[in-house]
Amino acid sequence: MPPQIKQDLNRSGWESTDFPSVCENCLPTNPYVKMLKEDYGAECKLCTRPFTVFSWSGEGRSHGRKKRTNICLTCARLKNACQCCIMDLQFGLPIVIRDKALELIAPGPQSEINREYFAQNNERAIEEGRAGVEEYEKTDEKARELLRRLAQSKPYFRKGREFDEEGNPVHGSPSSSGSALGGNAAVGAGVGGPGPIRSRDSRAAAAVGARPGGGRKGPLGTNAPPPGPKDWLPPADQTLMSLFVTGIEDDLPEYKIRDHFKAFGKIKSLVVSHMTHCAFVNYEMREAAERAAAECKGRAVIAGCPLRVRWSQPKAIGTMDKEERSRMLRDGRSAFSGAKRATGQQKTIEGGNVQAGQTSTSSQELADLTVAPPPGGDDVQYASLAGN
Amino acid sequence: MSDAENDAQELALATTNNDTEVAPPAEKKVKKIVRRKKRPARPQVDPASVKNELPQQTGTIYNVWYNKWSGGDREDKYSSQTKAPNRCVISTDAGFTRADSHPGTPFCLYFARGICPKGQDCDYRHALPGPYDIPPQNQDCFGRDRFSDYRDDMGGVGSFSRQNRTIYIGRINVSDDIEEIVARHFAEWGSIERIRVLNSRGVAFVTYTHEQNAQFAKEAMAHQSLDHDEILNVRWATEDPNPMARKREARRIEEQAADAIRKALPEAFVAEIEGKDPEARKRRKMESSYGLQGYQAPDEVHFARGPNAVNPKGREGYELEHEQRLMLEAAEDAQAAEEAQYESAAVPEKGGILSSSTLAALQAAQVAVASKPKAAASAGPLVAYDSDSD
Repeated sequence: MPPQIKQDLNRSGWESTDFPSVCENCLPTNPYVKMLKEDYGAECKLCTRPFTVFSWSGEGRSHGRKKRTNICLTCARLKNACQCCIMDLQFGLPIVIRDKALELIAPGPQSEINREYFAQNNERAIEEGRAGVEEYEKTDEKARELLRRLAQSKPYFRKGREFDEEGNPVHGSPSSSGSALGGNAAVGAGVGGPGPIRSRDSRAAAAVGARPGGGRKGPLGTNAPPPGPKDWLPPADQTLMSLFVTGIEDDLPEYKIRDHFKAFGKIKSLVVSHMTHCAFVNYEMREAAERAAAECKGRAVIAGCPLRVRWSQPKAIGTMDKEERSRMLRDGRSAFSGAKRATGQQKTIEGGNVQAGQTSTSSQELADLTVAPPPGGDDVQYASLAGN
Repeated sequence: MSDAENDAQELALATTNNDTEVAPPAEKKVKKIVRRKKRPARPQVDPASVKNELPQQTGTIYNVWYNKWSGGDREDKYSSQTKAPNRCVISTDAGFTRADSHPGTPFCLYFARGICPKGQDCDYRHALPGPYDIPPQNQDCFGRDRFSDYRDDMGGVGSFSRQNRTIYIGRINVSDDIEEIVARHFAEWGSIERIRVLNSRGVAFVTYTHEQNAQFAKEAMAHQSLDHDEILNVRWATEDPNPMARKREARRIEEQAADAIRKALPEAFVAEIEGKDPEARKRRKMESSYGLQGYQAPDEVHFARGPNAVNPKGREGYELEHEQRLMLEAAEDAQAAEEAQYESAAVPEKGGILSSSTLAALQAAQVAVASKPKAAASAGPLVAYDSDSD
């Protein structure tokens, strides 16, 4: 034990302990751990007060490097974290994530002296059994709440009703209204794989809280024709190796688009602007670009997001005004509005047992439609986001 | 593969040479088959050109801990106008090093900067961080300690009190195809989630999918130039004030937390909470009625202890039958704890009669008792308590 210096007012917050509070992962497998203890060896990384530092050599994994405690015992108790790796003791989460997601305790003051004061007060409270414990009694409840909330969550941005892969609107039946009206959560997070395709729809948008008819049928509305051969036939200019993709939603990450388009050949660069809802895929070889255009047939679905693909000369896409941006978003959907009409038409025609050439070709196009491959094993699957 | 075969041959040789020794167990051989990278790491600069000398005196005091001069810095490291001497090229430079036989070793900082002369003799890894190379919370992917605060200039190692996957890039040469240039250069360092370029200002924000990739990219691109002659100013990005970005970030954090919680809990239980198992609700109704008609215990009670507790501690000992727990009630303190539990169930967190500190103390006692092994019960069942909340 070091000499007690509690009498010294300036050093009253200095902590001397006999044993660290460390999680299982930080300790070596051998239960006989040799630790070095140094009183007031360093300042706590959270409250900046001196504390007793323990260090030991983590075996194997750390390759001869020493592990040591980084935060003082008071802070560790207050945050319910490991002194070494600063991870939550219950779920093994980083404490930042736990505190934000479970909304357990406020992060505390930011300035140095306030932090010290905060820690001092809490230390006293813990000694008297007033604080530090009760918040974490609620962890279970909060964890359940979080799971429930995410299970019936709506996407974080406004979006419309989804369409299935044939372009038929998925009707939210009253029984399954919970998920259907809010838009499929899988689609919302962009992790749902192929699955339903979203579309703007005034009814569905109204269901998720949008104003009805909010600028959807304007002069720039969805009067872009459905993709035709001119969209995917290779242009005469042989130096052109870029495809222009529109309709990118805010939650569609860049790497998913890359994964989809790199199947056709090596990508030189992929420029995605989420703000303007469009992207450029620049291939290294002309053949790859031609293959991609031919396979896509003017449209693609990535993580439920309908996209329109066409040839274009590369240009700056980050500089668009508001009108143009919303046009880009609607443009992606226009690729599928045509498909929807075609299938609807085909249904009626099939009823009458007539085969029109035009409809059969468009249904053929739909069959050829390239859809992003289902997410692989490395893709995190949130059970709550898998629908229902 | 050839390595593994060689190992096997060596093993065979060893066993034939000294017959007296017992042959090593077969599992050791299995352990030897390590998936190796095909190539050794390449020294990025000529080892002969590296001079090991003290840093140039830039300050008045030499700090022996940090191996740096301090005080009177004439040149700020982060706004310096000297271009980086070399740049890392993952496709040619990456490969195996000594560190690859020790999983969990950090990545080489000098490799990221493109100036590691050691090649395959380096004690750190020469590769791009993957999605599973998650560094410990208190360190970055290069094994450097992180702190609770960012530096004032947002340079340096970064902070552990915020998960930051976005780096700021300044002083980019403004050109027409600036977006394409930025996208092409920064895609080298890992999978990107989004890029935002302020075209006219020569500034970009690049968000990677994983934090370790952002850390790597920050070191790799510092003081480098893109297609034009420029010296990039790479720092951590501050929090995005855009409300949409905030929502996006909040959602991501929640999903991360939910994922970890799900891993920690039994599967059937998660399905019940999320309402995916229609039968679960019925079962819950039956179980948590505790024999009372029309009563359903609130979540706090139902999930507090027992086989379906959220807290692993609450499940402790519940591999045993429910009835066996009652035997413990012979002990005095156990009864007290039992009462405490009853109290706490009856007065859920309002702290009506008892003060919160008393409750906390009682609950602590209860937990301490509950974690004792149940086999220690000596007397037979005395009290016919049906359940805790009876």
